[in-house]
Amino acid sequence: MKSFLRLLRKDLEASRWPMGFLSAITLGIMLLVSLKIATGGWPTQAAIAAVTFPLVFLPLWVLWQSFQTLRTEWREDTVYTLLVLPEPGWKIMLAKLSAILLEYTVLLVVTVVGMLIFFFPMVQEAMLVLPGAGWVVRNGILLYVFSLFMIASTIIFVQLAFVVSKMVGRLQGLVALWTLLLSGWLVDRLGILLEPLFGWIPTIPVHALFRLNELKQGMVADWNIAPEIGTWLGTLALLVLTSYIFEHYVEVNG
Amino acid sequence: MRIRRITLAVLFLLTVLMIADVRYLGTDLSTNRQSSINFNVDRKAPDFAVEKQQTFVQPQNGLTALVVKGQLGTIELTSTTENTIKVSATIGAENQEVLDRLEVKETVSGSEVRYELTGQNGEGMAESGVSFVVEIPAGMEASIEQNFGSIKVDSFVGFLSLDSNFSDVDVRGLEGTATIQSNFSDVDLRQIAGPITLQDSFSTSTVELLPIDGGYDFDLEVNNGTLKQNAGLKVNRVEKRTLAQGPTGEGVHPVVIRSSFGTVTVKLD
Repeated sequence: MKSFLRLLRKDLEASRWPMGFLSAITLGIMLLVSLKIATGGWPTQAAIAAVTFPLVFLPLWVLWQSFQTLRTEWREDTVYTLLVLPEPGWKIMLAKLSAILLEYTVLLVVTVVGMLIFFFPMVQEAMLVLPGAGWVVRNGILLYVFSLFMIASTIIFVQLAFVVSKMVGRLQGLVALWTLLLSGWLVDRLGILLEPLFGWIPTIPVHALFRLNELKQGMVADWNIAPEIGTWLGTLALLVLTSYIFEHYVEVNG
Repeated sequence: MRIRRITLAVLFLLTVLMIADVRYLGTDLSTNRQSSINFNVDRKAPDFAVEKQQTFVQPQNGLTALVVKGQLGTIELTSTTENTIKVSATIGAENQEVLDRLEVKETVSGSEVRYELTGQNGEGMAESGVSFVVEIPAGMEASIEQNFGSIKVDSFVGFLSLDSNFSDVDVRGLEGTATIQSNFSDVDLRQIAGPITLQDSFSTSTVELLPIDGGYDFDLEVNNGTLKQNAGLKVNRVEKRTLAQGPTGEGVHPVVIRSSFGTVTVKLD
């Protein structure tokens, strides 16, 4: 566990400057927009854009960061140091994945806090049409947890694509893109193929989980997770595969 | 060097498989998996400020077909052993002025009797609506058209034709033939014994069939949606279509379902 935390800390330290810069930009934009709204220069709807922009940007940043953390190891030749450490590949990959998820969480928190600081009157107005603060917090946390899983899957795909691209001498960018496409197709097919195996699993009442009835009576949303389980298993298998390839790469080039 | 070759070989193999999948199974690269989240909202009839009732009682005589057109209300239909057609209509409106203009008109044409709301003067649909409670002799043909409301059919014997838009359809007990067209609706058909044709789009449909002499001949096709069935049919997926065909028993009674962007569940008891 200690070694994992050390790896995690190393990755977090490496990205603290970009994180700080992005947090500052996010808050700066919000401050600017709130000032413009306060002085009557911009309409209040600009607040929506100021909050939406970082939220839209976040997944793109995660995609880039997943690629960048590995690329930096190769560019600065620290990958060899990593591989001579007595740590399995999965631990290194998991540490990188966790670091990106933590960075995502920090940026999300910065966005939410910024929204509460700079656009509080508008948040209060929005709360009038929502069932209550408890409902918003509960559903916000649930959505955050779901988004973590989605982002983790994306990171796993990008990690695999990058590591596989390092297996070839030339056209690494194209190979990375192709691997990304192939892995997406593969886990999708796996989900469909394995669906009958998991057909016995009951559907998840999303409306109860999110208490949608408090928002509008009669809302029913059921999630049939049978086709998803194969996809999730496939994604986990890709993480293991990436770790294996990563762990044995030095031998390949040795 | 060996693992590099293996990696390249696996990439090549997967590429061939993906191309074969796209080329021969017609998969597009995005996905053709069935949607796994179904979302519905109950369509509750609005509470009107004012209401009035009309009742029609008609001896069956030579009448063999009944047509009812509703909106923003509930249509309840049941079969009886009597030789009388009974229709009770509740008209609702936002104010008395609108209500005074409205009435349910009964039209007899040949062997067909029709009930529908008249007098709407172009006001918004939400300003008026009508609910029906209908009892007809067993064996008659009933055609019901409903928009933004619900249809409830209980213990029906005869020929049933439903056309529903943005509505909930609930059938409990049917001996006869059913032809159902639904758009943006929830269709729940239980205890059905007889041939059925269902065409739906953007709907969630459940068909629960009772065992019947002669068995069923299934012909199910779902485009861009989900098909669940326990009739033991072989399911084929071609591009974005899910197909299931085949008989149970002698396959006498056809069950034809065509669905687009919906979820269809077929249960055979």
